[in-house]
Amino acid sequence: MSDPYLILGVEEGADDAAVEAAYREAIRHCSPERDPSRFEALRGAFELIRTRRDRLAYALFDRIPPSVADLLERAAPAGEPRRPERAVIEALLRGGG
Amino acid sequence: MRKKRKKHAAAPSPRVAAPAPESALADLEAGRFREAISAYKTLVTQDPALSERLAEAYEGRARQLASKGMPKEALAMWENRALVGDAPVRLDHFTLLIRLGRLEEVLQLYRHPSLGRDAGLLGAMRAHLAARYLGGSQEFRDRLAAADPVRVDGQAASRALMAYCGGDDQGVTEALASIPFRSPYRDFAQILKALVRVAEAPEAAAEQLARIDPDSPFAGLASAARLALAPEHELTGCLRGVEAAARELVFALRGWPPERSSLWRELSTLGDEPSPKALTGIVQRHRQVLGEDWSRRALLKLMFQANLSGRARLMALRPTPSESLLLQAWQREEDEDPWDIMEGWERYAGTIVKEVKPRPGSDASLALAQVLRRGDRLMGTLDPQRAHGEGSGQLAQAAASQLELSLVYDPDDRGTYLRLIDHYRGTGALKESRRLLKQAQARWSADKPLLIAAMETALAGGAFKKAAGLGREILAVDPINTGVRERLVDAHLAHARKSLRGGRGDLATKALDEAVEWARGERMGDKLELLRGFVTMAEDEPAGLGRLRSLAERLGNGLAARLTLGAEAAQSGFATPALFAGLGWSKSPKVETDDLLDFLARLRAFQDGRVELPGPLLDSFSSSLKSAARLELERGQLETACETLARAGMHKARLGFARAALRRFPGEPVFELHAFEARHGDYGYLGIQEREIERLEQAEQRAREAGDMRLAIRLEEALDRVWDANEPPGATFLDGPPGGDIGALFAQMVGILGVEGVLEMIKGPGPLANALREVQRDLGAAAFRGLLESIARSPADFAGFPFPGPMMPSSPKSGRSSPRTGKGKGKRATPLDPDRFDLDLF
Repeated sequence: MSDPYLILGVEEGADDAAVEAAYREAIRHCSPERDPSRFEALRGAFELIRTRRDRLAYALFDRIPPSVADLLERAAPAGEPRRPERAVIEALLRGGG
Repeated sequence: MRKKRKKHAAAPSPRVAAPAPESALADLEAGRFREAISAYKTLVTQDPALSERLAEAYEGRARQLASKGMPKEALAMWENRALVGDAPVRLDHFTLLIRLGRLEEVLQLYRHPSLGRDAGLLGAMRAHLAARYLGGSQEFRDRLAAADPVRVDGQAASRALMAYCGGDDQGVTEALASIPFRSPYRDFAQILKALVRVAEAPEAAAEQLARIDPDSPFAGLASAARLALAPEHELTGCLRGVEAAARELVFALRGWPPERSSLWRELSTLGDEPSPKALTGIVQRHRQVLGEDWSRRALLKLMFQANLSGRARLMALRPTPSESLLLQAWQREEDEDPWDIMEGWERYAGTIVKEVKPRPGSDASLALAQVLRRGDRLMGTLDPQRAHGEGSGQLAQAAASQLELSLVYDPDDRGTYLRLIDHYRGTGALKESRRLLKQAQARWSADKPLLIAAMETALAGGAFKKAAGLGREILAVDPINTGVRERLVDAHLAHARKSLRGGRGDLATKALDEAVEWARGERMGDKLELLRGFVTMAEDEPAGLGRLRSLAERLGNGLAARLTLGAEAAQSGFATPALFAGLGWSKSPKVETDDLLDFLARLRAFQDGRVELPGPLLDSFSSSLKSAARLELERGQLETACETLARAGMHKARLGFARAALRRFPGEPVFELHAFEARHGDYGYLGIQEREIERLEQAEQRAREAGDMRLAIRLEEALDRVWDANEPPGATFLDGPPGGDIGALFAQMVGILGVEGVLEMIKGPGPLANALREVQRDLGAAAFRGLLESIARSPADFAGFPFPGPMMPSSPKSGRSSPRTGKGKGKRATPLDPDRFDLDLF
């Protein structure tokens, strides 16, 4: 994903405190040791929209187009993980021989 | 050929020779199983012992066919193999039967008497049966022996699976507890344990899944589960290459709602990396779900990326005037021309003001400030290292006015104050620097970077005591700040030099003693020692010279030593020639590479520290540098040498290095630029030959092709200067004035270049120089100089001088317009006029 708002999971109108809170919460589950690439993405997103000036600069000067992941996340954010249907696992076991 | 065969069909069959065992073996070993089968089928009739080879050939062919996706044909080969004597059971044969649902044959093979001797193979077959059993093919369960582990453990495994899918982790644990370690369900149990941990401990789950053997019958499940743990940027691409069940598992484990899966399917039809144009269509179709504002911004970026034409843009988005200007500003950023970038954003700023009427503190006001700062932020227009290029003065002036205006809209940006303070100090505009310092310090009174800026400004203004006081303030809040410590030492040294120049050796000694208090490390110690040598020399010349001589020896007695001592002498008010004579430096030293690099590094340090070095001192290095250009330097070292010498205005030496570089790297654009500028930098770009212009244009083209836009712009600026200096007919003395007052225009030239400049210029190439040389020859050197001096003294009195005719170089072949107005670097007025922004906002 390239959209820092989507990476941090904050609304575009979020203020400094909301952005920082989202960042802190995200890295609580994703330390640099645990998932370095995700942490780096979070850190980069935070730096991009950390302050009001940063957010305005992002709105004006960023010209990176949305990625497929951005579109997916924006259109229908991933929710809580769920358990698959038994039929899905059975199909995988039939095909995995 | 066919005809021939038909013709001879009635004839007796020729005797077919039996295949040789060697060639059959060669076919077998080379993987030519079809040929091997054919040969061994014949050979077995003669030698039954070769049936093993035939079985081997069948086996190889079966695997070949299976790998080609021909399972039925492969099975036929396995069946043929089974007919050839007592061939051992193979797992591939067994798994193929399972895949084809040939239950009877599966069980037959599973009960093969030879399996008792191969526990490994039996275990593997059981694992495959177990996967099949859990995969829903339970019809063979009752056909297995009651004690068969596939049957016994299958029930627990099935319970565990049901519990997992139902979200009953406790049930999973309990069911798996009854499955022994050596069970055919062992891999399944591992996978299930990992799946239970996916959400809470993804790394541990991934490690657990990675331990599943890729040949395991459960590997497909493990691999799908691993995919669910892949990073987001890898996932969307990987999903396209997997089977539907694997995708469904990933969707569930990552919590994808059906709408997301559906959109993914739509996006996946666009390929691995959909083009911006293709994504434009998707965004258009889903703009309601994506949100109108977000979609609009996304479309702008996609259209920009897709480089859509104006008409296509209109059809896709119908951009507003401000959006069109935004797209234009983005486009100008791509071109990396600082003037164009500033102009693009300036135009966009104009629309913000018109459309929004920003109020203080509003988003629009801050956005306006950001826009005004963009040119400098992006291109570093106020960077000190850009300051030496010609035309950079007006660019920096324009950038500075944009930054000043940005503070009207956003006065709380400390970085902008610092940027401007540094810039003004660097350009000697200390009054402006102090004005902004005062404004900034009113907002941030004890701010360390501002204190440092204040100290630097005080130093630049020669207020050494004030600088020392500020240095102490900084060290009070940041005691380990070595940079400030060094600057403080420098401040005391500067004070000492000032005292020395004023003949106050006592005060100089006192300042040096104060400097000692702050000095740390060898470098600062050397600086002190050097100046102390001069202080000593002021009181006791032989003693001072002795000190300096030992320091010079330590520095190698070469170019670097001479520059260091010469510079210090000049700053402290001593005559360099006398010093050099006292030190026995009458001849130019022979330069070694290390000494040259040290010299250049020290010269750069003086330039960075804005220490002005006297021309005669720099001239004294000319002959050494001329021979030094022949040293074998690396490409980067040559470039650095040219840049450093350019900054020092040492064009002759620069030309030597540029020519040496061009001999080794012919046509290299950066050296073409240095050679050109060095040749003409002192002569005001007059009388340039067409051949040189073409060469420069070719260099510019090569730089562009290589993607080095900064260099291309520098080359373009050099070309612009040529045209600026050689205005179109009638504009300057070069082509004769409208009223025919050539003498007045010649006076103008002397006014621009000075007497020495004109004398230097005529040593150079070009028609103008040729013509002036002719005049000099006619008049004689002394009279010519006298004439120039009288023109310089009283240009108005000089009319009617028989100046040679028009010498404007003819238009180059490239068709470059002259002068160019579109990109007139250094020619524009300050681009930002606050009045243009309707500044009735506040």
